[in-house]
Amino acid sequence: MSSGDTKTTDRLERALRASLQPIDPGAGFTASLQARLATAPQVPRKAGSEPNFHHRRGYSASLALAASIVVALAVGWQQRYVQAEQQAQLAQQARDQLLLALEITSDRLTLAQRRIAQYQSQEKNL
Amino acid sequence: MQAECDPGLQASGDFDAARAGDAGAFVRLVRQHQARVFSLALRLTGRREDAEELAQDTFLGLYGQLRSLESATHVRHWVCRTVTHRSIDLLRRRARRPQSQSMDLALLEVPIEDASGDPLLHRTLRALLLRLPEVPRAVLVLRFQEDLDPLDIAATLDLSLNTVKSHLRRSLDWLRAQGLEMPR
Repeated sequence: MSSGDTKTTDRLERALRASLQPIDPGAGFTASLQARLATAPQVPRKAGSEPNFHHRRGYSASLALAASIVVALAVGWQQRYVQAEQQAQLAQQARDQLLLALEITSDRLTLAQRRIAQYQSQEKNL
Repeated sequence: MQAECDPGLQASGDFDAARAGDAGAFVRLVRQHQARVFSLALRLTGRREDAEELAQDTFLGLYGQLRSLESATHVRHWVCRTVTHRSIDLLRRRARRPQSQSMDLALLEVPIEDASGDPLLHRTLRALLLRLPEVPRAVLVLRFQEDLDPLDIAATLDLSLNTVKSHLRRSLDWLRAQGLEMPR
């Protein structure tokens, strides 16, 4: 912003402050408000703190309930997670055992085939 | 953060007494704030009857809220914030009902204490202000009527500081572009 612009802005801001001076609404305003206040409920005294207290107690109870629900959900989720983990481990063990059994069977079959082949070649030679 | 609308107007004794249920102290509290509350509503809504009703509703609300307020400074912040938001709400409701948009031309003729000022310039500025959208208008009124800094305006209007600065800069640019004759 140039110095000319700055001067214009300063003059504009001064003019705005002068144009926007607070205006008093007049004596009738207070009188009218007093008439409305006369029909309004009184400023709560001692009893006034009770709703706040109850409100705070209600708020604390809601917070405690919400916290309990969150904890219960977390515990339930944890249990399900542990069960799923255990089932997955059991399934993996069963798979491993099956593969081992198949491997052993396959080796034995190969051995048996070799022995049969050896036996048959010995018979031919005789 | 509590906005300082107009420092030095209110004794904290009135606040404490009004809070304890002293009706006379509450009326004194109203008198300390009525010019700023009424003027905020008037500059924002552009209609005297709306401004009076909004200002009175604000003070009735204050009467019910006194126990939840902590200090005289808090009262100043509360009334400025409440009347500004209520005025903006009214302007938005009015915008949905175009037939009720007429403004009170008497507002433009409101005399100002600064006798050395240019009455035509002041009248023009107030008329131009009413042509701004409600939020930039509220930003300008809080800045130049209540002398709030941008941080306090942001807190009062629930806006970010950058948004307030942007509204101020653009509104001042717009006013400058209107070719006003500024006194030297």
